[in-house]
Amino acid sequence: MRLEKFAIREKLERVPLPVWILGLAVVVAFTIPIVYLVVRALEAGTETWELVFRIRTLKTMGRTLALVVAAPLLSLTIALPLAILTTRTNLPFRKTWSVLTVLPLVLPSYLYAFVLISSFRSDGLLGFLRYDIYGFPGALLCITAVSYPYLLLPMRASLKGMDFSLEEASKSLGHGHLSTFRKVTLPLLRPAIASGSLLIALYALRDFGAISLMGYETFTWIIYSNYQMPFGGRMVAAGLSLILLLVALSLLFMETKTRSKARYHSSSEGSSEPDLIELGRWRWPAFLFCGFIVSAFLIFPMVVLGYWVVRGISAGQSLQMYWGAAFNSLFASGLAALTVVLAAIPIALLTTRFSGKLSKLIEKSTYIGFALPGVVIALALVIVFVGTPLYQTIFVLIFGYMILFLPLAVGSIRTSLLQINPTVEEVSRSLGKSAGETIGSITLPLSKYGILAGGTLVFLVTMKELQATLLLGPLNFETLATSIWHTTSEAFFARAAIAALPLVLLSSVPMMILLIFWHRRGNYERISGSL
Amino acid sequence: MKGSAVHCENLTKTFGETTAVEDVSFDLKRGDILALVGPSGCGKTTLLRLIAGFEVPDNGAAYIGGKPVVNEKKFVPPEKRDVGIVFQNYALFPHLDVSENIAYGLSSKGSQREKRIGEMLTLIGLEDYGSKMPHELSGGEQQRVALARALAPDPEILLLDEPFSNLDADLRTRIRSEVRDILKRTKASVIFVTHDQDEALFMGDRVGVMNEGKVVQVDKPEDIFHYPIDPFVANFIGTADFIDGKINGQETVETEIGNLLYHGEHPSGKSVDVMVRPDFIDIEPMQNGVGEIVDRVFRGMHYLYKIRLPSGITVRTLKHHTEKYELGTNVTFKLASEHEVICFHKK
Repeated sequence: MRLEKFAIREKLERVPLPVWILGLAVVVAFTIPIVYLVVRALEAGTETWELVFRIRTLKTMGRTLALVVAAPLLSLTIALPLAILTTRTNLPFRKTWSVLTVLPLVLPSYLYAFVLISSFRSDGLLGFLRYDIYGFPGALLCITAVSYPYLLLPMRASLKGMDFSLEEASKSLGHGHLSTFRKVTLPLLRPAIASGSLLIALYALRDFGAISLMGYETFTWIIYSNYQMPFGGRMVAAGLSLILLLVALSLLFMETKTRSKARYHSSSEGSSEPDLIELGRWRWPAFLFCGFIVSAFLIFPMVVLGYWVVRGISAGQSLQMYWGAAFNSLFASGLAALTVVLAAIPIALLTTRFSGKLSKLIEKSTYIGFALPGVVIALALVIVFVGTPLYQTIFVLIFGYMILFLPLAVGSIRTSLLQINPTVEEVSRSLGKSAGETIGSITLPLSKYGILAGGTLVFLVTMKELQATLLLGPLNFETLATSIWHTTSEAFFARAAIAALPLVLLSSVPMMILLIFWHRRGNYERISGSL
Repeated sequence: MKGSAVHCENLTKTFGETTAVEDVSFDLKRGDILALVGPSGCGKTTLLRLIAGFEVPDNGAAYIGGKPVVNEKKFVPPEKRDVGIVFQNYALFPHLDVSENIAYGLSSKGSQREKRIGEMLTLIGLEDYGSKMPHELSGGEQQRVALARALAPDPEILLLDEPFSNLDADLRTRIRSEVRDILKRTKASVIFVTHDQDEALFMGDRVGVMNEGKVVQVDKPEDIFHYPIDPFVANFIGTADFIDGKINGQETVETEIGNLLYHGEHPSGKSVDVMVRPDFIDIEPMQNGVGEIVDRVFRGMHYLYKIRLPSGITVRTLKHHTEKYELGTNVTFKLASEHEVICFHKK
């Protein structure tokens, strides 16, 4: 092995030095705050830990876990029939339903909370029901309404990518539709179900908007309220964050395990089209079921929004009161999209073009943002930056967004990088271009759609982001998201609706772009585990 | 080494436990085409990648155009090796049109650059295709563009990795003679990798047979076919059967199908394996013949007969399609007396 030194050097040089430096800088930048939070929390005195391990914490844990378990279950009862109906049956308007049933994904949980709270009030649209929506039912409904597509998408991808000959073989062996479904299809769906359920559990664990408005106090809420308290409240919040961090990381760990399993089960060469199940007299009831879901989770919120906008205008509210917030939202989201994409490109290059233990570690560490609730990341950044001139500036806010949303951009760019055949880059090298020149003239141009999709995705989720924006934004920095949250919690529903309208409109354009993009590539799987 | 396009000394490359290339040395003259052929997994593609600089050998040295590109002291990266490469999947840059693809490796600017692009387009017969995008081209056209792109900077050595295996069978024969024609016109030095023996014999000025990481034999196509160095080469290039023989000192070797002239020198009395190709021997039905027909395969113009000998060994032979015999027919052998057979010492 006399030439080994050259082998190592050549391997390292596949990624040029500037990319190495930038990539490692990004990794260090987003790891430090988290490490710092953990260290500071562990250093805290016994008094703090006594405050952390109060009975109240245990109760909060119970409430959190109730939501974490219930939300995936309720989502499954919605998503499973939808997935089958829209991929395997002669459901009327199948294609239309398959788009519409995914769209609730674009709504933030606090917007749905606004819709429920304002409707169940005595003078609201559903006030006649005299039902108290606050607490567990409200929180569960909000989380489910906006997160069931996380299950729907991977299940549909699984059903579409499945090797249909397996089902045909089962039928040729004398099993009917139902028996084949139970014995072949459903077991093959299991990894998709597990992966999607865990994503929804993670969503429930991280959520702050809906649970805070619904008054259902889970972990993110008590971290937030402790953070607001003077005298050591921040340290208690840090201690609580540590517990939440552990739960979140174990959910994330389980999710990555099931996802890697899912690959074995799906075949990329779904050769033929499957037989569509004839619904017969169940055709129209199935149609009504889809109609009900879309009405409840998409049309109803829009109607309520419209209702309050009209009611507000007729009461003399100005439509222009949230210009500033809209501008702030656009500005912060645009800046975040740009920054996160620039940070993600070197990471994506490193993890795809350099194979080794280090790049695996880097790839895994970017996923921290997936697991961490915004409130935990915000807390970590506050602890790092408080007392510095950067504290409460847009810089720290964008930094927070970067940690939160880096995995989305990295994932999107990585996917398109992996689709480039390595021989294309090798040809460029043999034609006299260095590794760096090859990245500039071949690799990046070929992955432009992935980069664009990554940026759009980050823009979309930053528009909706609430917790980090509340805690990290400059003083009096109102975005559309924080405006909706503030006005709803103060019961100014007409104002909330007027802030929500531009949020929905501004989000729907990038959402459409993404849906078209993903649809064309047949790559729905990417959305799951992303938004 | 002077006048050689590529020179390799003791190149060795392992991946974990498996040895992909083992102690390979060879020399390629300028302007020659070397066809490397071997079964899949024999290490031929790895050898190509070692020469291109995409892999670093564990041991050994390589020279391109007489200059060292890898040895104990230095490793020259692929972009500084003056190598052109054409991959099986052509690997055209999908975001660049045909002209831009061809121009990619050119360092010249302006009118000189345009002139070279024009020359290359003419060379491959696609004069009007300059502004087409790769996805608009057929497989054969893509292949020629990939070839032009690799040839445009006038590399010291051109490497072709299974360039025809993505083409339909009938297209393949046509394209490969077009490609050979282009390569000969440009006087390029070429290493061509394939698993197809016909292709290797057709393309190569010299053919190198690889097995289990080693280059077993490098020779002219005719010599590889007629004088294989060992039973593996004999079997891989063409069809061969082996029967037991004993050298009887009279320039002939004694076998159960008769005494045959042999090639080369062997000590008298030595036990050997005698290589028999289907076109070497002829059969005739005869009641007490030593052989029995056990299989017959229709090959269009010919029948390929399989004949069992008294020892149980079978040999194959070709007969014109008009000579159809039933299974179980006893046959005797007629030998083309001027044909010298190859004998391998028994291990």
